[in-house]
Amino acid sequence: MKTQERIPKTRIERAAHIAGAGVKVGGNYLKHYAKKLVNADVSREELHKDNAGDIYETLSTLKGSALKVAQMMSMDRGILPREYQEKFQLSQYSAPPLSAPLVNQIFRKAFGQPPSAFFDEFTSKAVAAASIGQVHKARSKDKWLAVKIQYPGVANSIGSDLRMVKPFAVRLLNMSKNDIDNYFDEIEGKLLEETNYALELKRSIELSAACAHIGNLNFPTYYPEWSSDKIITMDWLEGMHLKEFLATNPSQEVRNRIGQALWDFYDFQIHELKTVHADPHPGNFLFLNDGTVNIFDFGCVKEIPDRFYTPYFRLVDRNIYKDREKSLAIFKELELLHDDDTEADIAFFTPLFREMIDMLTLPFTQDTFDFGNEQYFGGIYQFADKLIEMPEVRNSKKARGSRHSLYINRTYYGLYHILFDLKAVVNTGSRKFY
Amino acid sequence: MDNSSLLEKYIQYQLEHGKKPESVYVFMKKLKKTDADFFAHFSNFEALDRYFWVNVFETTRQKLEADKQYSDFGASEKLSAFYFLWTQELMQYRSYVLYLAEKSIKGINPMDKALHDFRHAFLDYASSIVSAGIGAGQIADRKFISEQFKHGLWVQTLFLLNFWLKDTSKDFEDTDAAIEKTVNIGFKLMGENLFDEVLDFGKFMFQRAKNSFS
Repeated sequence: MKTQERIPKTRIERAAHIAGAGVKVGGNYLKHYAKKLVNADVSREELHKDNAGDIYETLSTLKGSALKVAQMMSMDRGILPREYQEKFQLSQYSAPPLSAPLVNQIFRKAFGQPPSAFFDEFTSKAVAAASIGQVHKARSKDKWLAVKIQYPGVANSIGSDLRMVKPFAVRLLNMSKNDIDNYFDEIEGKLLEETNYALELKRSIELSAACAHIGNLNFPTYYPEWSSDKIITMDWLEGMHLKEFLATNPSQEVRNRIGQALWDFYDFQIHELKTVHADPHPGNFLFLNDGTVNIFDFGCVKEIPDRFYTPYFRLVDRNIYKDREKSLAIFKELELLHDDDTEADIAFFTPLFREMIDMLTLPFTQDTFDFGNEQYFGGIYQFADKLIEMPEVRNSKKARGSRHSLYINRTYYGLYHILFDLKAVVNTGSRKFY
Repeated sequence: MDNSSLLEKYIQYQLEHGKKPESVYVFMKKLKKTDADFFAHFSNFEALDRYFWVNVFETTRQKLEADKQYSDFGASEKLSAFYFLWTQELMQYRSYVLYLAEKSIKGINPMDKALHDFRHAFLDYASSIVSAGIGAGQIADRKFISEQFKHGLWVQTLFLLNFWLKDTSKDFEDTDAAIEKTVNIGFKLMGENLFDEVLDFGKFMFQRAKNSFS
């Protein structure tokens, strides 16, 4: 694991870092438009690459929630261009490790004793980084365990970190401050939940048990006796991260089996439990060559309210658009349209939303879906780029979409993207929506 | 009565009355004891004030030395472990330390006479940390300057004490974070070549100045 030179510790220092990237990003846009004046063919790719580099450099020197926001931004593929993703995904792995005495201290505060009192072996150094903590490997008798320990003070810094990232969001999403606030509330709430390891433990146990019947998934056993609000202990699971796994050239059959398992996992949570593991980041899964996948991080869980679920999935039925009144009412329920929208607004946005929703729900309408289809993914990206290019969209200060859509869309984008990387062919049509 | 029970009563008295007892005589009378019982252990209240601080320190050090893992730690880890345990030990006296801090204008400050014995014991301990750090190559050995590092650690100790007093975070986890960060930064400063380069530059400037005047 890479150890950082120095962690910016105070709020002001962190603010100075973020401001640095803000200025640079502004500069990159300026450079981009200057180049464009001379040469209209200058690609946006180049601009995005410049931006991603600068933002990444800045965010990677932070830890805690800023790191988490970076990860979050890397997930919102619909909004952020492709060039950002890889760089942001790296940020997950670059937090500076906690010292052994601090790990002891956290254990002592939770259980009155250091780890050596509970485990036969305990790595004094972290073996992996989690976004707001680090993982140690431990042994109790013949059992190997993963012990996840949270950085102290993370919960306290979330509010101020988010306030500092907000100017970025305003620039990247082109939205009014009020609407941004609404979204940031949702994110802040979820981030605070993620710092509550006691809640995560409870959800991990419940959701793992509820999904245990789904084939080809492995869930660890959790150990409440060695867990607290800062520590979670579970079985150590061997497996590979997505990139390593793909590098072993798994067969199509293995990739399909894993893809199906992930699809079924999400399908069951969203439609049966209405509670979903909303962080399908590749770092949260470990893949095995026998065609199974390990699932172990339930830090980010979204409960889907009925008033969002019902209208959202009614749009899978393409016939709904035959009845204009009905489809407009659904768009309003989802807050894609608002009561004060003009006829012109409605005429402009309705077909755009329809195109977007049709694209995202396409897999539901078919019996099997090939997620390796580059054309399909290219289409999604092109559509996102098209949205950014449209002045009507860029200049619309109104938020389009309910706050609940934030994590649900993110879940689907994340899932689809993993399935795309796996090039999996999946049975997607078993659920009937109408 | 022994040292610790006298200390306990003494702390209790101050917390209840908001001030020191008027005299040893009055204090001991309240305890239904003679002042001779007091003077067998301490010459005056000031000695008891000093005993409070050095006692917490010695308790911490003894507990650390009894811990097998502590002896395997490197210098910076030893120092962190010390601060973690020390703030933990102080926890039972938090009300009293807050009371002491309110009594003085600048909080607990390094010149406080009550800290005298603690300071001596700590500087002794800090020297052992610094030489362990030099031995392991974590701290650069510099003439004259290395000698001063222990004083820097003393200032850090007082900083952490005052940080802990003001800490309102749950379970004092911000104090834990402050310990981790200041120890890391402290060891970076003692280890990096920054000082050497400043010194080197100073020598260079001095040399130039001398040359230009000769």
